[in-house]
Amino acid sequence: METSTPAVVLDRLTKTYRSGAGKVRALRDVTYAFSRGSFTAVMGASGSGKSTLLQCAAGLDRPSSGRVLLGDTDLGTLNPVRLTRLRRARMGFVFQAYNLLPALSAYENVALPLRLAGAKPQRKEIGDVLHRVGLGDMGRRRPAELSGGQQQRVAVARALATRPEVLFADEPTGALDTGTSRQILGLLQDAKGHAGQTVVMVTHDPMAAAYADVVVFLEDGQIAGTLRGASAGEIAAAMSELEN
Amino acid sequence: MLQISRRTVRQNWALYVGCFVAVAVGVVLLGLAANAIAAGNAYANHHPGGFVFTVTGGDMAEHTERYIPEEQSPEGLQALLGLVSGICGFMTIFVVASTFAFVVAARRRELGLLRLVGATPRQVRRMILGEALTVAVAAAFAGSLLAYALTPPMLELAAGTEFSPMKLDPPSQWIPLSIASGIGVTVALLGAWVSSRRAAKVAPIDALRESATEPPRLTVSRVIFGVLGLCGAATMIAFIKPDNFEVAVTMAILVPIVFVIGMVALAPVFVPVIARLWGLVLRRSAGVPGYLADRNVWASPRRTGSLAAPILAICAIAGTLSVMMSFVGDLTYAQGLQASRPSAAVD
Repeated sequence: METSTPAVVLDRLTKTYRSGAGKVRALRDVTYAFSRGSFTAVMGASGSGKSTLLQCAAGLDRPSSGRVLLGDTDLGTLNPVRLTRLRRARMGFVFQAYNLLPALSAYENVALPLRLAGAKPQRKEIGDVLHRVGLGDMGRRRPAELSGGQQQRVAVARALATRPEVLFADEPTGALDTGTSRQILGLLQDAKGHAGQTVVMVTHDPMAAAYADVVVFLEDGQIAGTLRGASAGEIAAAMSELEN
Repeated sequence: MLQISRRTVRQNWALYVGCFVAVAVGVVLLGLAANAIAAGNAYANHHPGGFVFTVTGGDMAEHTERYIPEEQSPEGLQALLGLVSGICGFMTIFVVASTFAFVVAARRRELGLLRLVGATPRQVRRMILGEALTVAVAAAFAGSLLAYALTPPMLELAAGTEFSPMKLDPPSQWIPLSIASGIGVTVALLGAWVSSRRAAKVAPIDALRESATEPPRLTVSRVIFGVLGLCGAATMIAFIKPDNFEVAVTMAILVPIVFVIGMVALAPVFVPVIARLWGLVLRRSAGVPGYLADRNVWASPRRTGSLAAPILAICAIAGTLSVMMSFVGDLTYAQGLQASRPSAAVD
């Protein structure tokens, strides 16, 4: 794996939705490269296009124009089945809530992507990942028997179990209290240390964004600026400046 | 995927109760029919009955045939049960289909999540079919047990009636019940087929969409099926005047089926209303649990509708049967009137 090529490249990405009120341009000509092994936070007000950016970057939504490259692979050239295989081999996902299949235990949720890929997950491997997120003894519990923070940790463990190149997180702390949020963000920060994983996180919370190496600000579907190694205070200041 | 299917069914068993009942009832009736046929065949092998005559001339070579007069044959019972299980099989497909349409629609988000973490459309489809298989195998087993227990009393009851003039002994039930179970499971899979295809079309991005609420009360296809079913049944009753036994029997079978298809399609509209009326009573007498049940029934019309579907189906079968019975009664009476005429002689 060469470190010179970026993990994800967005190349003049435009996304236009047709809605009742007419055309909505969620992304306008966005070009950005997420470098390998980085932790990037994408920030912006609601409606700034940050979720659309994540969905296009992860191949969940097709851009109206422009390209998305994962390593050397152009996502736009793949059919749905190949896109699915690519997603389960090379990407991990964590969302705000409802990340887990309610019928499966924590252990089974973590092992699911591997099993879907036809691999036979090693007990120890899954156990290790659960241990890493601090849930070594909770593998047998169902999502309904776990707290919100524990459920998010299971989701992170699942995203880590396949050792994806890129981990996409959409408001992963949106439904959590401050203390639990810190644990989850610590785990995401930790992920980039392991095997050079790249983390792309969408958030509106400056405290969460402060865990990232780079913060990208979006406004009206365009990149309005970036900050490196900024504190929560600096990020919050930049945000309120954008909004005025 | 089968493991996920089993877990899902076990955790959300209430969703699948309707399906289970429909398949189980189907297997019971099929099992009884298959047992009656087996018993009849076994009887025929041991007591040939009737008389053998030789056919000469004509196009065929000389051969013998056996003529068994109606009063020596259990064909009536076999035909009746065969007919009922045929209707029941059809109903089962319909009930399973409506249950799984709901199961898939209500779980868009979960299915999207599966796709997101790497399930291919085919794997999602297999999971839904796996759920149908899980429910159907359990139901087939329960249905077979029931059919096993019911067969001796059924043969006892039928003995000496116009359905089966002689007393039939219960046959070895393994093969008939295996066949009945196999058909039950196949029928359930057929019912879930369309929904499994729809489930496979759920996009990964659906996992991210906010609304995980109940789908709309009525879809276009439900309205079409509902109106066609109700109007079709009404038209048949109003315009077809059966003038012979065959037409009458066909109508007796078709009208309740078509009517119930219409009712099941429109169940999300009217079942909650009926349940609501009952709920008013329940609220008075059952306190908070009654109140909650009432609110739930109202809030999830499609789940309520799919729970009511097998009951509607059973009503249709009972309706068909009672109409059939009255026809058979009339026919027997009519035949009695004709009995004074001389019958054809056989050389």
